[in-house]
Amino acid sequence: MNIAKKLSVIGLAGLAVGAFSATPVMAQSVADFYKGKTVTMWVGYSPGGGYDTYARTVARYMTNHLPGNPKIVVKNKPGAGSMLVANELYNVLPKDGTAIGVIGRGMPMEPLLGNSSAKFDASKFNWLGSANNEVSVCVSMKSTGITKWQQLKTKQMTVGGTGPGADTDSFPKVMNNILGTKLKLVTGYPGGTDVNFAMERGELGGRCGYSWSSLKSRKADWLKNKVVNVFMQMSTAKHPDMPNVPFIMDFAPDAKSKKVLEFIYARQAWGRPFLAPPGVPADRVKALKTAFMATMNDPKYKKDAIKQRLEVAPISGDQIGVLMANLYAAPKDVIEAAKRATNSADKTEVAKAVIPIETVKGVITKLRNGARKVSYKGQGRKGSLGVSGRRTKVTIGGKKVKRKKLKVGMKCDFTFQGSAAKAISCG
Amino acid sequence: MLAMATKAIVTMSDPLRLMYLGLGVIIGLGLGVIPGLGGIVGMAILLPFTFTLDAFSAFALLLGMGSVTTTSDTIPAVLFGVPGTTGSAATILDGHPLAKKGQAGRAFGAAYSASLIGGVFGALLLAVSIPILRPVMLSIGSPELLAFAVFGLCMVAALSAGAPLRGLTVAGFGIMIAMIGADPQSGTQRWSLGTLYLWDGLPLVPVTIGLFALPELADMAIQRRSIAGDSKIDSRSGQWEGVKDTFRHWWLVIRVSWLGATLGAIPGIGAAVIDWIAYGHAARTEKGAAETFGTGDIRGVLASEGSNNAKEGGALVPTIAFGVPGSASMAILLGAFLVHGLQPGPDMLSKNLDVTYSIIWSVALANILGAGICFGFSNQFAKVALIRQPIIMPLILTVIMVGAYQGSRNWGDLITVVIFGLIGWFMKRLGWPRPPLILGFVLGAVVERYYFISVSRYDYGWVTNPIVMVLFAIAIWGFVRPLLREVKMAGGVSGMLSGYSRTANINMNTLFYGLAFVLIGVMLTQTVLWKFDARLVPQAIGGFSFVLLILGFINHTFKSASSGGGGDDAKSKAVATLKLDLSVDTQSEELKITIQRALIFLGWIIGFLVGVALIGMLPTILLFVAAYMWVEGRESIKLILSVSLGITIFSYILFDQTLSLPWPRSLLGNLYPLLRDTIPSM
Repeated sequence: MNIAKKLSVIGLAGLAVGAFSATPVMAQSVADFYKGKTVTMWVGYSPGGGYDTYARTVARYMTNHLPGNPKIVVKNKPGAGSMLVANELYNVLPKDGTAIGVIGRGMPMEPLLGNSSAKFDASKFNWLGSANNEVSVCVSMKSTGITKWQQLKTKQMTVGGTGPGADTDSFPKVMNNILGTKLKLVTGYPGGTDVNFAMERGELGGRCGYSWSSLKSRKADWLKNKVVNVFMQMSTAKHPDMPNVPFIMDFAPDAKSKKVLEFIYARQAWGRPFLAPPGVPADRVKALKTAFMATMNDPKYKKDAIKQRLEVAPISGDQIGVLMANLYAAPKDVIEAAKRATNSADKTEVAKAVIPIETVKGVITKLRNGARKVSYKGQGRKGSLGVSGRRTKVTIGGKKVKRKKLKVGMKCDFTFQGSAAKAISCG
Repeated sequence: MLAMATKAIVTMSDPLRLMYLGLGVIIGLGLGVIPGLGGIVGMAILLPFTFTLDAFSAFALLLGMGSVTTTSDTIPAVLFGVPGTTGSAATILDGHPLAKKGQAGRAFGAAYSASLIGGVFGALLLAVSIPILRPVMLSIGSPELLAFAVFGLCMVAALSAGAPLRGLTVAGFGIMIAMIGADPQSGTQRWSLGTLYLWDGLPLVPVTIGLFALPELADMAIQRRSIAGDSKIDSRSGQWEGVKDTFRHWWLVIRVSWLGATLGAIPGIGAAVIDWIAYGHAARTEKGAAETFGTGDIRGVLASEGSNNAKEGGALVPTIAFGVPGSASMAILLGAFLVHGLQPGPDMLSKNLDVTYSIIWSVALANILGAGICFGFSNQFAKVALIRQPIIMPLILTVIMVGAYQGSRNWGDLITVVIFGLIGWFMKRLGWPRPPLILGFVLGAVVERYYFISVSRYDYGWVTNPIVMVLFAIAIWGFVRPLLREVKMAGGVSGMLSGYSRTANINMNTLFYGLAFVLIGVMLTQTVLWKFDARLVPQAIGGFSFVLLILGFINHTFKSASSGGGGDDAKSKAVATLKLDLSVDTQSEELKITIQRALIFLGWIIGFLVGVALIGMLPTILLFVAAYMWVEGRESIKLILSVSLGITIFSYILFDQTLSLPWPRSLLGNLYPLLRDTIPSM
């Protein structure tokens, strides 16, 4: 008997054992399966970064919450912004529940955005949960004088980026394309800390696409000493720390733009996503999901995470599953518009619809410069509008009048685009 | 300030903290010896253990470890010509020839004492510059970072070993391979050959190991001798001699320490080039360096080792003052700051100054301790140079293959190390300088990055910044002066243009030129479809290299070697020029035997790769070591078993159990997953 034959016999024996063990899987409990086994947690990044830190902290405690208490080891396999690990989890790594992982939050969008190197369908992964729900912010250095995003419609500000596809590059483009700001992106910095350093030395005016949890933990002195202004928050929901910081979803100029924004910022919800390959037996997936959430609520995990300044705002795997299904069901035109908004530096089609015409019911609070500037308050909003002699239609009681007839305290409907009043009709 | 410094030293002298420091030092020394492992791996593993310590002990442990990997990395560099970390490649050039002469002890003595002085000096520089740290760093913007990288690149001229055309061509090629992967401006994938492995660019570790370590090992196999040959080993006396060498050349050691500490503080310059820049500086400024550097001149070892230990203190500057990691391991150290509630930035230089000083003391103490331990044990290490080649060779080969695999833990790493091993071996044999390739590879990407940032932010106004102008001036001077000297030695421009003959000189180098033409040509044609930002630098550098290649080819082919001028071949053979990297010791063997043995060696390496692909890495290590010892040396079965089992168990414990290395998947493991569960690494 030659070696090849011998091997094939061993192989057949192996297959037979495999076939046998396949039938009793149903009978084999999850605890039996995991007992004495090692679960590998694959990290798509090098040691030391944010994803790696979360993974190692989760791995330390998750073993206590999995039936059978398997050993959990973290293995780093960096490559293509974690696409390598995503591809391997989907296609190569064992689908028996001994391989789980954490990938970049933007990775699930890659196949949708037409990246042919992404060999997976993110809606088919078994999502275990996310260790955090990230909110991204835009900041400006105090010296720029920018405190409100609206100022950026007329004033330019430089922001730093770390390369195409990164939040620091995509988010300023979204601001420019959908809100009509004039952020000037200087990109190519090696990392976020280099962008911060360039801000400190005055090379850059700010940064758009900065994880709030990271800003809070790594640059607490910036916030405390008011070195920077946080002028926008971007995610699918406001962060509890920042009730008063403008939220990008509130400024979507129209329904379609809002859909586009929701598509783009969906990734923030699953900020640190943990996952298992498709095809893992359902009972083990359930056990993994349960163990993940139990870890999130484990006081020891929380203590450890807080010590490392990691934010603990988990969302469950089922929640991610729902969000992911929505994402993959998004209409083509929304995906196309999102692609344009995150990629093109110039204003695109979306940008043309940038400044919407809005109407607010309210009262005149202040008049300046012969009513050339009118301040209003109403429906929870306030602002000041430029009133043009020709382009603004001013009416009182349905009758067209000169703007000088406006008085403080009048109740009016203010129709405006940006800060230009289109019509002021007072009762 | 002085009070704070004293307070910090009192804090640090707590016995428990010293114990942590010592533990860190021992781990660091161990990691430094093994190629591919270094401070980054150590930091990542040790960090979680520091959570429960106080800040002072935590930094003592982490920095004790991080500061000394560049002390012990000398050992494999000197003994085997294998850089222990990417920071000791320049040590090989003179350290390894010393070992071959039986003077490994002297090389160690010099290297450790230079490391010690460099390390302490780096810490000292950090300590005295605290009051001016922030203002100085704030004056370094993107244009200045660009200028520093250009300054480093211009060392190429000094490292071209009297073959300037070839040196520049090689540097150009280095810059081109640095452009592999996603371009930082437009995201275009450049030369990534459709594989995800190359998306983030070629990893440095397999390139360095391939380029420098494999050629040394190949030549060792070809000469079939132990490292020291028949020379006697100088142990204790040699070490003492090395220490005296350090004090004899104290001014050089101080200069390279200063250089290492300063460049270490510049983010992006990196350990992999600092040793070369220091080596180039020494080669240019030391008396008589032209004749002896590269043949076992102790000053070459001093330059490289003094600078790479000083770097650590420098790298702490941006980390502490701004939270900008000065090196990859510093990025992980930032995590330790957070855990202990410390905010890198102005506070570290005022409110938490005592912590900063304790960090400085840790670095200084670790360097002293590390050098001391190395002194104590080197006596034993030096004897390794006497071990028979068939025993030591398979061990080193397996260690560097696993080391190269640390690059990005991908099959691509193993292929990269072999390809660059081949390139490096031909370069070594045919008289092409290798250091410019590393310089171009590391700094090329930095130059491109900060060029675009500077232009995008400041247009071209930045060119007139004073720091930029000064650095550019030094760079140009450093670049032009060696070239002028070449021209002068070639008898002026007329001398360079004369001496051409009609008979073509065709040899192995002609073939190498041919391959280079094809490679650079193909790479250039691929750039055509890229976006402008993505192709600007690759096309400029590629075109430049191509022209240089043509000039070099004409020179090589039509210039008679005896005419003495201009031709790079003539230069590399002339004793009067820098020998650096070009010593071709083929005289002793017939070309035929050389080629035969080289092919056998290549066969072993390919056999290793095939083994990994078929049955996995650990089983391959076991079989490979045993087979090599039997076939090449007919060693006794008992010895074969103990050595091959020993290295396999060692690799299993270190890489599988301790470091959780994701092994490459083997065919057998893919076919029979059950086997994978029982035999690790399958």
